[in-house]
Amino acid sequence: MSNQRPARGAAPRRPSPLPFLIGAVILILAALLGFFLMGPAQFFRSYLLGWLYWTGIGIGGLGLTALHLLTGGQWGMVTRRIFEAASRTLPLMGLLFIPLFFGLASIYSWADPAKVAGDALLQHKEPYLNVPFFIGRTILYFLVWTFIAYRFSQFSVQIEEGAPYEEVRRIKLFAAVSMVLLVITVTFAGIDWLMTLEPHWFSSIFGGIIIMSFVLAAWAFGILTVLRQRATEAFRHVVGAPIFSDLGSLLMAFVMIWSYVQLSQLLIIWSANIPEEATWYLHRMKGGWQWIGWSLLVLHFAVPFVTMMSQTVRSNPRWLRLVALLIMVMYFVHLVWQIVPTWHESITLSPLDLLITIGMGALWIGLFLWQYGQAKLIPPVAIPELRQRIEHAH
Amino acid sequence: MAHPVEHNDEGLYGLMAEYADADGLVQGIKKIRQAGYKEVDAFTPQPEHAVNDALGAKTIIPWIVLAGGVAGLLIGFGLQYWSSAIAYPLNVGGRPLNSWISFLPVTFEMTVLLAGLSAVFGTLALAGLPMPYHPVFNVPKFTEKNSRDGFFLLVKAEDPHFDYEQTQFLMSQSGAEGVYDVPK
Repeated sequence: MSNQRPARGAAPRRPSPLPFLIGAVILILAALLGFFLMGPAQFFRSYLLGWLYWTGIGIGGLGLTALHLLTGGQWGMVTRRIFEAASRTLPLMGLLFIPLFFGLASIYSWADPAKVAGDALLQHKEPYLNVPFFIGRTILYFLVWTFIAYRFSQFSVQIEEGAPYEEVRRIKLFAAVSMVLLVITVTFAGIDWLMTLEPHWFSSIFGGIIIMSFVLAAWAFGILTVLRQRATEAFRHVVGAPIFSDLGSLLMAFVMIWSYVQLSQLLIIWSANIPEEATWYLHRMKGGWQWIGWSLLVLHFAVPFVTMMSQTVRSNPRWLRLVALLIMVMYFVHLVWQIVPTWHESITLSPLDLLITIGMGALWIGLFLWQYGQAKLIPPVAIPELRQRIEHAH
Repeated sequence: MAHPVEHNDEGLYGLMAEYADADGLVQGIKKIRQAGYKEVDAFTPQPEHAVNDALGAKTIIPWIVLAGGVAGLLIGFGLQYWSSAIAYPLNVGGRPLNSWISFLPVTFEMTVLLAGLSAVFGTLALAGLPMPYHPVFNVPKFTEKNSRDGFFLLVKAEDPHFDYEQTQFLMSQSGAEGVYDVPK
């Protein structure tokens, strides 16, 4: 990323082949390990985890782009190219879902005919939970997201170049409608990919948890990307303590919303205390998984919340980077806690979980960097105001 | 003997300078503080961060609010813990007596309530409000313009560097449009 240069209206650059090569080698290695050593079931389960980790950042980026098109604000002027590029990784992440189509039965009990045959509830849910419909829905999500992502990338440049008022209104309307569509599709995607791991269980706020996880992860990724580039020509004069403070404040806000939806689900299920809802938590509150739960409370909520409360801390790029990194790690831990207890009563982490997440990460970063260079990194219209704010602070 | 008789420091609260705008005020504050004055205050019709920075104004309000929030957290949780686990230990639906998850909403509300009240009353207390009398209102210009379009700088007579003529001279040299006595 260090030789990342703003391509000033230049023709789209070619992707650098190195990350794709590394990613492909790691994923092939993981597949070989999976099929010959650890069993294909483990490969597919780890693949879901690693794939979701990076896809989630793309989806979060899409949501944050929609948010900024609607609200505006300096926080988005320094981050919007990052989120737009992240959202344009989604078409390829959709293609990378295809291998999972061949392993659905080893991930989801509702996709395994033998298990459905012995389970009246799964038979009852079959009109929704069946393999063709599941695949069709996933394809639909990716079509919708890809369409929205590419429209957003066009529109944001149009607005920056001074589109007429009528045009801006039309774009904002599109962003508002897209926001509604995103909430619906991501909710359903979260239900499909994660909630049906335990198909007897249901929670109506689950979509909110998934949305906030993705948004928070994308936000932390955006902060890390800004901080990494803060000494470059494009960023040097437009980011500084006041902007870092803004980014840190929003990090705290997203952490709070994440915690709010998590607590809502836990509190309601805890208060009702009925078996069909409580089982999901019971699987995650014993066998060592409870410590992962506690770590989420402390490191995914309390530590980011308390540190980002102080303006001195969040204006400091070192601290901000540390907390954003913590969020990226805890986002992984949270996905593990969501996914792995489905099959393991006691705490387990397969080497394939890590290997595939890293391999998928190399592919994703390669895609991201390719997309990221395609428009001016900071919208020129925003530069005077940003510069003034940074200079005023000195 | 440096002072003319009519300018008796005994009856003087301080000296006040008026500036055309916030930038002028900021320059004035910088000059006065560079000369070593500590008992300096400024008045603007609207919030000006640059003025706060120039004054080097530090506030302990965040710590007061934090203390209020922590107190609210402990009181909110402690009250529920004491009543459910110690004073009236009842088995409710098989849950543990310290059913801490159910305690969180009230704990949260108490945290926010006491943090909010500390912010309001902490600010009032630190500002010395309510205050029915303050000498700055003895300056007619100040009364007229302070909440409209006047930017004022005050140096209190209690400052060890305060010397009527020198201070007055320094203020008029700092770009002020006028320098006024502030009687006690």
